[in-house]
Amino acid sequence: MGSMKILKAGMFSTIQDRGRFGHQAKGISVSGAMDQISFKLANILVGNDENMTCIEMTIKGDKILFESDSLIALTGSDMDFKINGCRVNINRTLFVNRGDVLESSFSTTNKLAYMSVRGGLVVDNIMGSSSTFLRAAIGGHEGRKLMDGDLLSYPQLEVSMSKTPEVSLEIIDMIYSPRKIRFSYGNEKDRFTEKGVDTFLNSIYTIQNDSDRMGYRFSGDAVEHATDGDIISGGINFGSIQIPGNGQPIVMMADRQTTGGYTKIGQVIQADLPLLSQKKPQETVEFEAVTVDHAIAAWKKVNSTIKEWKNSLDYGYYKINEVRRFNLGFNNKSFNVKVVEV
Amino acid sequence: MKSKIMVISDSSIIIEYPPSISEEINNNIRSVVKEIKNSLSDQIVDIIPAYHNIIIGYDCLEVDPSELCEKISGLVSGIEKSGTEDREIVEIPVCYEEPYGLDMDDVCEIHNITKEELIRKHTEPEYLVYMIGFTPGFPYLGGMDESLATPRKKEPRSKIPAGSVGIAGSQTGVYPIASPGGWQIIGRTPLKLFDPYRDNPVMIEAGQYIKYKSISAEEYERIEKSLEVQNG
Repeated sequence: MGSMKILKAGMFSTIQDRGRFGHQAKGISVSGAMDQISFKLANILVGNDENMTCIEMTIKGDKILFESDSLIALTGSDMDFKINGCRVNINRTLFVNRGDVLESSFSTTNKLAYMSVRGGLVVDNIMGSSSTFLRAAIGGHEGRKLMDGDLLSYPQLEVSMSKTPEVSLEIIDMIYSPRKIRFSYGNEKDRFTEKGVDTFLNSIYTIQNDSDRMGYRFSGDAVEHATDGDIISGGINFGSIQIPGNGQPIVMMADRQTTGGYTKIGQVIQADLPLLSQKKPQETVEFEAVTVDHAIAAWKKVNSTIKEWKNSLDYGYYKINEVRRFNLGFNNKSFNVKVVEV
Repeated sequence: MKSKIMVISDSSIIIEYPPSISEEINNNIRSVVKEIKNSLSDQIVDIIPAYHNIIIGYDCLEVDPSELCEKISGLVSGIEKSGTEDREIVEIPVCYEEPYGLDMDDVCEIHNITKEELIRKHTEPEYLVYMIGFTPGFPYLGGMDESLATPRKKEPRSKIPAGSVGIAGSQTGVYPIASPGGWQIIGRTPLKLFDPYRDNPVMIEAGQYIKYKSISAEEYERIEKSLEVQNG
């Protein structure tokens, strides 16, 4: 088993996979990666199954010591990542050797970064998932965010790559190009006045500082209800847009509670959840209504584009035991050289 | 029973009943959920039954939602039974004494009743678990004696201990995990309603009935200790 040590934890990092499905009837939140696409891309880059366990970093990343060789990838947000002091690119496969240190700083663009490691992080599987669910203190690393000194395990590297795949710009543009956030109306649209719906479609909303993995809170022009903002509690989804009595929207995110008692004007489409999840507090958002058919077509397009890219990848796999190492002396310096047969 | 099935997003379908809190609707919902789980489990991602509706999660990359709606519609129309035949009652031991009944004195004062009377009224009914939600294993119960209805605390507590039994408005409930909240706390159960490491992590299911049983502080400690021994 390989391992990495969190030398200095980032602002808020948790271990996540796709999520814990099938237990919402018992009140267990789904959790999982907030940005399901960058999470997936991180896994594809290191040749993992798409649902393997990653670290989700928020706004400021972790400082990590790798105690064994591996392949990693960083996606989502560029947090000025450096390995042994040298700047490294996101959205690309990276080699790390035993003793290497990954450093990161504050993100300049997106909010969330995902770090995958070849073979996935090894953590307990609770109710079918490794995702951290903070309120119940389950999953991930001891059910909590990562802290200084935490040790995380990953499988010994057996297969490496001679190529370093890169996510195509086409995919990055498709997912994160600035645009309005699309949503589809649900079954509670008539709980709002026509004026209220108009307000929602034509106002600019600002993400509030108390937004978290549970929900993104917005402030802006209040959306008017037909009567009030309360309903008999019912199930809610990733992206459900709740409008409580004060008319200020809350979009339900990965750690959302399973049920809620506020009216919902609609649900953010899956294709725009990655873009929304990557927005930081104080950024602004505008909403645009689309049909469910449009939403489904958009999600299919995203997934087929990624699949196409994935199928086109050449990892140049080779078995680690085919690597030979030499120590070469040159100009009074010693170099450790790896020779790989490909 | 009349219901409406509708695709509400690219990931969910809703089955809606008239918007009211009724045992009949709720029983029907449980029969429908059971049927969907039996027949369509390979086509759904998740299912959230509530008071008067059911949210069904689907993966639009795998399933056509209109076709799924039709299948669900076929299942739902065949279900008429209300399923009240055999009540499954779960007894929850509750210690209403100090130091567990944090707001006991306040609640007694609001209603101008004795502690004994409050305990009698609270332990008498069989409470239907309408749904589980909010936090892991949190039961939404119906059937509390209306004379016990109490407003929430003005200042919510930042942490209510797991197992706390409380009243909020005309609802009564029990907190499976420690969480913030404004409920008036009148007692605590030593049982673990939620334990992720147990085979069945959530103790109570929608459709069951809860009956509270008053226990002494000594009994509370005895049960708590015996549970600790069981869990090693």
